[in-house]
This record gives sequence, C-alpha cells and structure tokens, in this order.
Amino acid sequence: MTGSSLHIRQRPLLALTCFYGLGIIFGFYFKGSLWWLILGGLTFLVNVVYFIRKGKLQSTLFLLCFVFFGALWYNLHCLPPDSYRHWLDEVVEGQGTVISYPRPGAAGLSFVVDLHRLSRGEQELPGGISVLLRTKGEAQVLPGTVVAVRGKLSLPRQARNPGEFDYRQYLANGQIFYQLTTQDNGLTVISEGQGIRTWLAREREKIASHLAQIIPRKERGLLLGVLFGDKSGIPDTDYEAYQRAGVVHLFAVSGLHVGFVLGLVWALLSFWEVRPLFRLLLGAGCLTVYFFLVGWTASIVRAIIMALVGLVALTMGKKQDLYTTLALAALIILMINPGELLQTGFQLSFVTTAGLIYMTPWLENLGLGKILAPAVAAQLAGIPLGAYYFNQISLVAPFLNIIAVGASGIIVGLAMIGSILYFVWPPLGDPFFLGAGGLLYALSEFILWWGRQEWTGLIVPTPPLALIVILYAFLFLAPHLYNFIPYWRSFLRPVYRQRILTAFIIIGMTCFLWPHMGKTQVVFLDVGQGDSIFIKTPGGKTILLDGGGTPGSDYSIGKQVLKPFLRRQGLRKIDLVIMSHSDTDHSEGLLEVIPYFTVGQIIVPPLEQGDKVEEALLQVARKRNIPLNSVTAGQYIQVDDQVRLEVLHPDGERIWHGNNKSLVLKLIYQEAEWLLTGDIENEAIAYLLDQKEDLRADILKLPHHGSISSYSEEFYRQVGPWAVIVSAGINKFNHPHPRVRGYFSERGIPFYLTRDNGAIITWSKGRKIEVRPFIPCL
Amino acid sequence: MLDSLSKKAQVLILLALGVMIFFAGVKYQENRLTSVMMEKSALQVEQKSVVQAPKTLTVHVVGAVAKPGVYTLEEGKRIHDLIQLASLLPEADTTLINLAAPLQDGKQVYVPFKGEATAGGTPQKTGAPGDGLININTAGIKELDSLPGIGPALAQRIIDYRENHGNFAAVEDITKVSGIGPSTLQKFKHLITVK
Repeated sequence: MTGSSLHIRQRPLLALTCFYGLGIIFGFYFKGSLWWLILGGLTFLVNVVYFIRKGKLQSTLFLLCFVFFGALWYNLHCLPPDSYRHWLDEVVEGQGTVISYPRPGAAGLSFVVDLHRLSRGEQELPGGISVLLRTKGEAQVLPGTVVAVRGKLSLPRQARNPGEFDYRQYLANGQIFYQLTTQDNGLTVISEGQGIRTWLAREREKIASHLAQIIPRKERGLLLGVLFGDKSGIPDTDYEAYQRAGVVHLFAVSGLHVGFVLGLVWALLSFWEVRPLFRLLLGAGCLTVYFFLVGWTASIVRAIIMALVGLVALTMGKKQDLYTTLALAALIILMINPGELLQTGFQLSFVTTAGLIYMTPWLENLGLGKILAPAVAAQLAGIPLGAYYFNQISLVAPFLNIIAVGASGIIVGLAMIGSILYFVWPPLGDPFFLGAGGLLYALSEFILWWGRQEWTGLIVPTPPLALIVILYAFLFLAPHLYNFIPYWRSFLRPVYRQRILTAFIIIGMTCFLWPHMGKTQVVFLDVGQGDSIFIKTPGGKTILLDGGGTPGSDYSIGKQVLKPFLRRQGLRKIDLVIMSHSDTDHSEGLLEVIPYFTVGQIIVPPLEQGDKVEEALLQVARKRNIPLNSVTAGQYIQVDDQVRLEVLHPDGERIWHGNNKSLVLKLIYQEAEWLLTGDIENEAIAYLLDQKEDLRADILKLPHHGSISSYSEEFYRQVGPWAVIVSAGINKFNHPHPRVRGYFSERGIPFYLTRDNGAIITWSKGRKIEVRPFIPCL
Repeated sequence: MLDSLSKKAQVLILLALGVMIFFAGVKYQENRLTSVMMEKSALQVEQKSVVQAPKTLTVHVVGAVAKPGVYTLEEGKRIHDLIQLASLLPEADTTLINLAAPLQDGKQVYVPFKGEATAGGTPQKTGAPGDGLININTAGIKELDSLPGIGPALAQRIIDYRENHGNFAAVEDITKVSGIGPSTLQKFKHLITVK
C-alpha cells in the first residue's frame, strides 16, 4: 500500500481504466456509434503511424484513443438495437436460457432470459438478446433452465417523475432493453438446465428452503441476504432503516465474503503440504463456485478479481499494487459490460474500496487508529454517492460498521461452514445455521434500533452532479491539504491581510444585498389517472395539492411515486397538504403519504357529512395532531413573503357536491400566476364566470383531467393562459377530450399532458413561467 | 507514463486496442445488418397487409332514394348500410325489401315506392325494370316455374342450389343443377339472366 498518493504515471493500467471510464461517460451523453467508431479508428491509425515512426507510444494520443473506444463500446452495448422495435406490443414467441435468479415483484416473478430464438408468426429474428421476463406463475425457474416463452414484448417502465428510479435505463445499462410479459401459460420449461450452474442454483434453493424450516422468517431473509446477496426476504421498511444506519453494504456480497471463502480453503489446506500453485487453483475454483451461487454483481466480481490477483502475486512472491488491481477489476467488468459504470452498485463498490485504500493511511496518521480509520475512510468515500442516490447521510455509520462488519464476519463464517456441512449431511449444518441466525437477529435488532432514530441519518436533497464532482475532488485533495499550509501563511501576511478582509466584506455585502433570486416551482406529477401537484416557494415552504390515487388497485401512488419524489427534494416536512376534493384519484395518495412526513396543516374544501375519505383524513389529522382547516372563496393563504394562494371556489353561498366542490386555487408569485382548478365541471365553471372573479393566469391546469364536461370556451378566454396542463393517465373516460385539446392546439397554446410528458415542471422567478416536461415531447 | 513499459508491452497493448476496435466495428456492422433486415421484413408485412386490404363490392342503388347511383362498400355489408348511404326518401316502402339481406357484388338494388307492389317479392329487384328477363339468382319459384322446361320441382332445385352454392356467375352455370342439362338450357337461355 502506497498511501495517499496516486503516482498515476507509474500506473499505466490505472490511467487506462480512468480514461476508458471517461469515454463511457462521453458515450452516455453523446450517442452515435458510427461517429465514435470513426474517431476511434482514426486515432488508432495515428497511434500506429506514430509507433512505427518513433518506435514508442505517445501516452496522450493512446489515452485519447481509449476514450473514444470507451464511448464506442458503451454505445454498442447499452443502446437498444433498433431491430426489435417493430415488434413492440406484439405477441412473440421465443426460446432461451434463464440467466438470473428469479426476483419477486409486485406482479409476480421477473428474471432475465437469454433468448436464442425469437419469432412472431412466420417471421424470425436472430436471437442473442436478453429480455426481462415477467410472469405471474410461481414457477421454480432456476438459472440454466431452458424455457419456451410466449408473451407481449414491451419497453420497461421509464422514470416519469423527477427522482423516480429509471428502470428502463437501469436495465439498459445491464444490456437488457425489452421486457416480455407472459400471456396465459406462456412459460414452459423445456429442459432443466444441466451443468454446474444449474446444479449450484438447485443447491442454493435447497439451502434456502432448509433454512425456512429451521429458523424464523426474519432471520432467514437476512441470512440469505448476507450469504447470497438475495435481498428479497428483507422488508422494505427495515431496509430503509439499514440504509439510514449505513450498513446495507452487508447485503452486497463482496470482499468480506471472498476473504472468508479463501480463508476457509487456506485453513483446510494448512493440514497438508500443498504446492502453492495447487492452492491457488483450488482457491480460484472455490471462488467460481461462490460466484455462481451469488450471480453477477459488480461487488463480487470486483472482490474475486482482486483476490485472484492478490493470490497470483502471493504465489509469485511479488508485491501487489492495490490501485492497479482495483483498476484491473474495473477494466474487466467494464469491458464485459460498459454500462456497469453507471450503475449504483458498481459505483458504490469501487468508490468505497478506492476510498478505503486511499484515505486509510491518512486517517491513521491523523490518529484515528487502526480500527476506526478504515471504517471512516469507506464511509467518507460513500457520502456523496449516498446523498445522490439515497438522499441520506448516515451519522452513525462508521461506529455501527465496526460492530456490524466484525459481527457479520462471524455470521458469514458460520453460515458458510454450515452450508458445507449441510452437503455432507444436512443435520450437521443446523447448529451453525442456528448460531448464525441468532447472531444475525441480535445484530439486526441492534442496528435497527439505531436506524429507527431519526437523528442518525440526515435527509438531504439530491445534490447536483457538479457538487458531487467537487466533493470527490475535495476528498481526493484532503490528505494533501497540509502541504498547502506554507502558502496559506504567506497569504495571510499583514500586508495582504487587510486587502483580503476588505475583499471578503465586499463579497459578503454583495451576496447579502443581491436581489433575492428565489424561484417558485410547481410540479405537476405524473400519477397516472389523477392529480398531484407539488409547490415549492422561494422561502422553502412546501405544498402538496392532491396526491393521485389508483382506485381498485393495490399499487400505492403515495408510496411508489410521491414519497420517493418528496424524499428526493430532501423533505421531512410538508408545510401544507391540500385536498381539492375527496375523489380517490386526488385523495388516496395523500392519505398514504401523510404518515411518512411531518405535516404543518391540512386544507380542505367545506366538509360534507358522511364522506368516507374526509372522515379518514379527519382521523389522521386528529391522530397526528395536524390542524385541519376548510376554506372557501374569498380567503387566501399567505404561504410565503411573496407567494400566496387565493381560493376562488367553492364559496359559502351555495352547497356544492362532488367534482364541483373542488377547490379552485390561484397561486400568485409576483407577476406569475397559476390557476389550479381541481375537478370542477360546467356548473361550477359557469358559477365562477358569473361571480366575475379575476380568473386570469399564465398557466392553467385544465379542470377535471381535460374532460368534455368541463369544456368552456368562455372560461378559457377569461383565463387566457399561454400554456395549459392536463393531469391524466390511461383512462376509459376519454380524458382529455379531443375537443378540449383541439381548442388549444388550434390557437397554438402549448398543451402538456402527464400521460405523454411525465411530470411537468414549471417554475418562475417572478415574471415569466418556464415549463419543462420531464419526458420531452417527441 | 507508457514509457515505463517495455517495447514488447507497448506493441502488445497497441495490438490489443486494434483488435478491440476491429471487433467493435464488426459488432456495429452486425447491429446495422439486423436492423436493415428487420426494416425489410417489416416492409414486407406492410405490403402483405396492403394485398389483404378489406375486399369491397360495388352495387347500384335506384328507386326511392335521394342519392341513387353506384356505391362501393366493404364486403359483408347489408342493404340497410347501402340505403343509409343513399338516404331513403320519405315515400320509400322498406317493408317490401329485406333490409338485413347481405349485399352482392355487381347487383342493382331497387327501393320501391309506397303503394308499389313488388314482383315476386324478392328483396333485390333485378335487372332494369322491364327488360323482361328472369334473374335466376333472385327469382322465386313462380318465376322459374314460368320458364319453358322448368317445373315446380326443378325450380325448387335451382333455389336449393343457389342457397347451398351461392349465386350463379353465368347463365351456363345453371346446368350444374342436377336435372338441367345443356339441352334444357337451350330452351330458355334467351329468357334468363344472372344480373
């Protein structure tokens, strides 16, 4: 270990890997295989000519070629091939081999199938693509099984709201571009796979079902997580607590496990006189077996490659350079699949390992000691990524990790010995499994206690990418900061001191007096068929108006869409929750999301007797001690210094029911105005027009998802919007109605629809309102 | 940086890079070829579907309609659909024609006026009124019976044949009905028609 300096000049492999990675990033942002191919080919020729002329390589030129190659390689592997797009939404038949362990999801199982053959009717396509197969059955399909499938080909779900997990991109980075949803009995097993992979998969399944018999469910889920990286047995809420405690890496099979496998092999072999080469081969064999048991993840591949290189170095009696080894592992993984570079798992695994190697010596020098230093180093390295992906910064992670890593080392060891003995004679393994389970239970309870304390994790809004880069640059330079101290001294000599002070004062004053460049943001979230609008004021106040809902379905908009979105904003508190009216496609999500946040106040239209949703809301408000107020026309809510919400409807004169009871709100920020109309229909619209209210607004959210029952040209004229927004999903009510759409398209007024555009983000600095659809118009 | 490597190693990594770029080129070409192939087959499917475009039939509507004339409709349509297109006059008598009868290609449909009696009560009145020929595709027993050499039994057979095998395409086809030979046909060939 060379400490906190990289000496990249002496590590050509590290440089190559870095530039190759840079190329992949370029390839991600600038797409076009052909251009990268031409650039790569040309620079390669230049390299060859240079080499022939000068008899050596030119470093910069060579690295440049590697950048182009990285971009090209990414484009070739991770962009969906055009070939299959004609078959989208069509029923196709195929045959292929299962290559992943099945993963349980909301609608059945899903697993990856490598298709050899794919056809539709008489047409046949060359196979060789992997698809994500979704099936309702409980079929026991293990890796290696050959299956025949029949189903509908479609694109995986893409992110539709800011901060939402982009499943399509995630799969594409794993070179999977399509999903196949099986249709009635569309999955038939042709042959149980043969060979070592299937055999191991079956053994893994046996261990899992044996564990189910001898230890309780909770420990079993955890044990499968620690042993095989199979997280499906861990409840979501627990997983979040583990995340807050910063210990989820325990469920990613990595160096710890690999170390254990090798340790076991070594310990067993120490009884005999074994030649080093044989020991190396046996170690490699065991690691391969373990790899098949776990399946492809960046962290285990990294750990295995590093361990193997270490073993080779040991056998040959050479010193191992950790940075080069790490770079080699990265290069191999990225050659096999360049998309891994953009996956969270890869990034976390490599960044924490690199941080561990890079910062531990420095932290030890600072006096953190041999135990705390690596834990802090790994944690520090992980902070920016953790904030970016999970909006969490764990404050207790280093301390918890010392205990957790130590304990899980023992647990993994026990479980592995148990597994081996299980194959010898099943009951022999039981005491080890029981011991591992018991220890794991104690450990998880301990960690969960910490994870459930809110103060142990900070919730932060997703930082911009530039900030992430700056943070890593800072971490990179941190060990060398003391080198700069002499410069600081000379900088602070009395001659300069006065000038610096004046400069600081001037900068400070300008910042303070600079016109407050706040912006009000209104996001029309895509919640399918329903409404949900999120508002953030320049003063940081937050409003959630309606929360969507999926009547008659188990899918929870509140948990799947709203909560992740609000967490991405770094929120723990919502100042105002407003329910326009009690229809489920507006209210259900609100009820689901309220328990996860501190709510300042709930606003509703005048209440009605016997409305179930309103009663439920009242109950929640009472239970959580949230003030609940109903408002009527003429009132307004001063949200912020410059932001207010005027209530235009319903008024107290008449009693309104159903959709026509919807709150109509006008959000005003300086000169920018949004009119948010809930679900009002013609009756309420006519009444509003009669009242001679000032309806003018820049942005109009069309009433009732653009229904024809709310079509009123007079109303549109009075509002005079320059852009309209409709919040509607796939529905059977013909929302938005073609006539409504036609009215605006005839007049050239932009018409945004959440079904087409995903979330629609609008913001204003006080004058003009900017609109950005999350999914750009085609 | 790369200077620290031996010359052999330099040649090696240069070669490795060359091989990789070559393979990238091959893969690019493969992707392109598949995509071109798919494009082609998708085109073929489209062409096929053009050939299989819904078949049509052309009919002539006359009588008590606002817009008499020749209409082209999709196969399988009924007289009712045709009359809607041609706009029925108020004085039309729809009780005399079977609105549910399927349309036949190349036929004339006559919509009778109120108070007008139909000859033979056939739904699709045949031929231009007054040409005196008997349409063997639409004629009833009585009309067929009136032909020389055809009695009630043969008339019934003609109708049965018509119902089982569809309309006669040509006058000569009537000889396919058992009991009617070419010699019988000679007796009334000048009296019948298929249109």
